[in-house]
Amino acid sequence: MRRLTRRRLLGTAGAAALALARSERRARGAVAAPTNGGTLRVGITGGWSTLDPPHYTNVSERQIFYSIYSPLFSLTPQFTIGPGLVQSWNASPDGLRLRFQLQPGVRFHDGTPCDAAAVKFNIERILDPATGSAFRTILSPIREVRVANPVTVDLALSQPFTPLLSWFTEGPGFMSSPDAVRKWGAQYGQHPVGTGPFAFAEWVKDDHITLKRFPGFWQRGLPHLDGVVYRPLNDETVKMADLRAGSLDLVDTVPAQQQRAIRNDQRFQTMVLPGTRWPMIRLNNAAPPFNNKALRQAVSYAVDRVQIVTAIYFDQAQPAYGPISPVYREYYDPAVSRYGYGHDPQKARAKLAEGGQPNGFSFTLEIFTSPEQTRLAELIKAHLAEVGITANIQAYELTTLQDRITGKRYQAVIGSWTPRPDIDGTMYNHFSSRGNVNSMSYHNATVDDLLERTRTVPNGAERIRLYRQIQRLVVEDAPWVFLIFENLMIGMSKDVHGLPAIPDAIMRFQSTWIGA
Amino acid sequence: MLRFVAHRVILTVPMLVLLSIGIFLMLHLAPGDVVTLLLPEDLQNPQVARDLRHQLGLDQPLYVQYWRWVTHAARGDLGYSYRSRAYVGPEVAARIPVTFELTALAMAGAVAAALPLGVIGALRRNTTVDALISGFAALGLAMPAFWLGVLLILLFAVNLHWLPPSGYAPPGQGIGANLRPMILPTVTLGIPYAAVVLRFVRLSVLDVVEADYVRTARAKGVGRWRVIVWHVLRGALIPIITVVALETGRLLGGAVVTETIFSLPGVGRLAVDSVLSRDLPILQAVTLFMALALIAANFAADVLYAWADPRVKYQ
Repeated sequence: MRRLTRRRLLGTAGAAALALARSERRARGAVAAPTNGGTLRVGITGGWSTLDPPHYTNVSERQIFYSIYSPLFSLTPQFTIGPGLVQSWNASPDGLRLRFQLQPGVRFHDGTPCDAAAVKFNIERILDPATGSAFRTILSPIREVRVANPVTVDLALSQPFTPLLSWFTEGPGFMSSPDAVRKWGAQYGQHPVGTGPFAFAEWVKDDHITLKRFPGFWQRGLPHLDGVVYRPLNDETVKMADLRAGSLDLVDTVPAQQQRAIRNDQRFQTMVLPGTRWPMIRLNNAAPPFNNKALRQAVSYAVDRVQIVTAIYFDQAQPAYGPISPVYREYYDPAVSRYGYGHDPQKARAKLAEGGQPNGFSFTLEIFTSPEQTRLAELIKAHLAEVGITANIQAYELTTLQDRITGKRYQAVIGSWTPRPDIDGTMYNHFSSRGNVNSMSYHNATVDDLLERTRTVPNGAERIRLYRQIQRLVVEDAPWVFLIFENLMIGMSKDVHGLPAIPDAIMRFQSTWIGA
Repeated sequence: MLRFVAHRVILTVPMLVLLSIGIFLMLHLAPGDVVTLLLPEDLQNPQVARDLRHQLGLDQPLYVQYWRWVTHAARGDLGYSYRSRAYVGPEVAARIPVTFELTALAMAGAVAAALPLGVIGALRRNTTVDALISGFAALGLAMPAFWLGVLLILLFAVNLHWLPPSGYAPPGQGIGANLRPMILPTVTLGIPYAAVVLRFVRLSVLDVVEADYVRTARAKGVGRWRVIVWHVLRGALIPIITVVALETGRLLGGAVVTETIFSLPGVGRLAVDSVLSRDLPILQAVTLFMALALIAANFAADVLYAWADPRVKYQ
């Protein structure tokens, strides 16, 4: 028999305690059965103007949509498309015809059926120019919507469009009651009626929106909660104060400088969604100095991303070497960290010389007046100064800045991006000559061709290969200065359970419950 | 008196017309295109933007837009919000009670505190008490609302758990429920206002306290408090009324910041939101409302002059 040493004893005890803690956590997470009842109080940064999906403009509106409405397709934690109101679907081999098999027996909050005719109504409403929806261009490949039978919808497309289904996981995919839309007209956004787990109850502008459990929700047994109250809180300090004071159960984002405190507080738990937001510098490729590729590369080499991650984001981020965030799973190419731009002042100076500015140059870096962007810009300015590049920081209020970006009247501007469910939303929009957010005036004929092909090729190995190729070309051209991919942290009371972690950073409460 | 009131009301009309033109021009000439804010960034398609601009009538010349707005407004139709497509009238009207309650509470609390403090400061001038009171006034003026408000939240809501950090309950839910979340905003908004009023009270009481009629009253043997309340304070009232009315502008301006900090659903917060989103129909209504409130406050001051000072007669 081996002697039990003190060290061994401590070691075993420690391991046992650890195992116990682990199992305890598991027990709390999985074994405990959900309890019904209770109202979840949620704090959201931002505000709401309309709850009419075709007209929404911001993320805070999307947060509420998933409670009031059910999308045609759902997003999985793996960021892939799953069934929603559409139970199953198939596409013709040429990608020109789609058939949606709907969940049978789904009803809107007003009792009317959400059948094939309702789906047709909603899609055609977006396609109608009189509606004035921004999603019209996205759905424009749809030539015809046909009701095959009450639970089957057929779409005919004028050209294959792979990202289409992913758009039905958000804005265009939320089904409104045709009756309610007809009844309220332009005021429908103030009186939304969907098929979601919670029905709209009350909206006191700028104070709260109250939703009540919908007993006829098509997912049987759900939701667990009696209701959800959303409160718009634009001041981060106040929002966090409300969480700490117990007047909120959950907040959509914990600002970077408060993350440690919330994590260490026994009363709270956090959910971290890696890589869901990424700031970058957009460079105007059509105007001096950044119409010179070598100078774009020089700036890219001069920036120290690792320091940005630690100093500005308190390690809740990772360096970005290309435009594709790891949130896109298989589309993220780890090789990019080898061929992308690391912090290398030597190479930066070499690129300056190659670009005809061996002693450096100066440019204006435009930002939005937020504390985060100001800190970020100051740090980047310091990095650039090390290689002789002078960045003059100029801050603008959001609308003015947006005007300057749309009008392409800038040299360099700090922007920010959150992922669309399909990678197309990030890549085509920014890097195709026909992209809606290509304010950089970036033009690369090969990239244009490849991006068009990604829209018709089905998801899979071929599409992944195309995007890897595109990323290599875009990184080489450096139309952006890639910076970091930020983690988003949701903060909540430890009594909140059953919140799925979906990388689009939207909270879905149909299976959420409250219990100690 | 009646003629005076009628005269003032008639004068308000050209004032409003000028104001509306000023507001309209300022808002429309400010940089920033509302359409770029109405479309998600990645859906800024030129064709969709053009359609939307047409739908909102923003492709018309300015004078046409102004005329349409002013003729509709004259009939009580303030249009609908660019962003929410909700009607402007009800949208703004719903916020007025909140702002009214906040400013009324702040004004009442501030005057209630400033009057006695100012009188004491004047009567005890150049003593430690006076120095303390003046010091409070200086501090009150110097503390910005966004700083004071957050500090109050951290102390009374987060650390002491005495009051909620933010929120609003309509009076229908009970006076207690309604007032509790209003305490911190009222203090935040009231303190700088109290500071201004206090300084004026102190100064005007100082002016009057040495006046002949006060000395006469004292000589007649009128009681000390009666002299202060009936003779000194009454005589000092005109400048005090003026500052209380004029500083209503400060209150409304302060309400913008205070409502934003404490997440109160008032007119001020609506103003901030609509400035940031370039929601012109809402913004026009809000600025017009604020201008009307200021005009009304000044009008009330004029009427009060006549009450406070028998020498003031309106023809």
